[in-house]
Amino acid sequence: MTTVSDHSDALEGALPATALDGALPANTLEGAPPATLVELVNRVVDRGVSLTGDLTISVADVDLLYLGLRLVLKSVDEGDAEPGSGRLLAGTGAEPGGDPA
Amino acid sequence: MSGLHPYCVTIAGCHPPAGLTGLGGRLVQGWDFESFAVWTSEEPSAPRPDLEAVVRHDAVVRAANDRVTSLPVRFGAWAPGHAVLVSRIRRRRAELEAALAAVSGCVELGVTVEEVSAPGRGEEARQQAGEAVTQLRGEADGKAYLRDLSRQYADRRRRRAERAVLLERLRSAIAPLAIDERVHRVSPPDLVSVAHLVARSEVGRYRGRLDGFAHEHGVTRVRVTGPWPPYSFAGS
Repeated sequence: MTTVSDHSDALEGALPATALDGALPANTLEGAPPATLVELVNRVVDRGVSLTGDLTISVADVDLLYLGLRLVLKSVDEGDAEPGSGRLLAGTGAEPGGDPA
Repeated sequence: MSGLHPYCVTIAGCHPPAGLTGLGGRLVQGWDFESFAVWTSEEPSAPRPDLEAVVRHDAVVRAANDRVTSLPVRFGAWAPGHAVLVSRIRRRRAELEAALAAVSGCVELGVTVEEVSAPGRGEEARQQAGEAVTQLRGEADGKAYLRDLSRQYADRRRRRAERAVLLERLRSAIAPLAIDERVHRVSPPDLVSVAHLVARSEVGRYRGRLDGFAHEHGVTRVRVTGPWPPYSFAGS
């Protein structure tokens, strides 16, 4: 069953309330150290759960490459890799049919 | 019809605080789906990752992690509708359940070590400067190219060796506080960049272990960031 809520019923007392202190505050665009901003962008754009069905890579609003569900462009994550190098990997877990258009 | 921009996947029943907004100031909603809750906001089309959007995305992820450790969704997972998003989550259900269990009660801390300054680097720099002048004079030839290539390879081997040593020293310093580790790519002057998954209750001890690390191991600087939501441990 899938439900939708417009606002939360706070889980008062049910969950630990440890705040993520010490990192980049929300809505802060100025004053943050450049290194921290870079780390923030790297995390948000390059890490986390990938829930994409398709990936379109574009430069200057021109779509250069369209990859289907089975292919993922992944940067090589070894320390000696030349910046900008990458390889095309066959993805796993894709089901026939993919996402509806 | 508007699409959805997902921010994070968390445990069922964990919903956004009232009035929380995300990209474009739009209200963040929580969807319960089987054992998960997904935080999303309506988005007419796939958003571009400009700095403001990135910061807002992270702010929503942090709001979720202030309640319970949640899996950040990588920016760019826009879905044309609820059914598509549910389909993608269902496809990866087992992986998401495992990842949620693995990061439960934890945060991510990042450590970046800048390159060691060693004797002899000055001579190396002078040699490079001399060769640069040679090239400017139009005297560049194949030998110069091969010398430059050889120096690059030697530099790469040196950095690889230094990186391995530093990584082991770093691991020894924070053991056994790091539950998991991800080693990330770096570019000079950074030598090592790792993300550690640490229990929330151990963040202070973790930072304490790294105090003085730079001085003890003769590196230029050690940069510790976080706590972050577990971006590096949310799976590919």
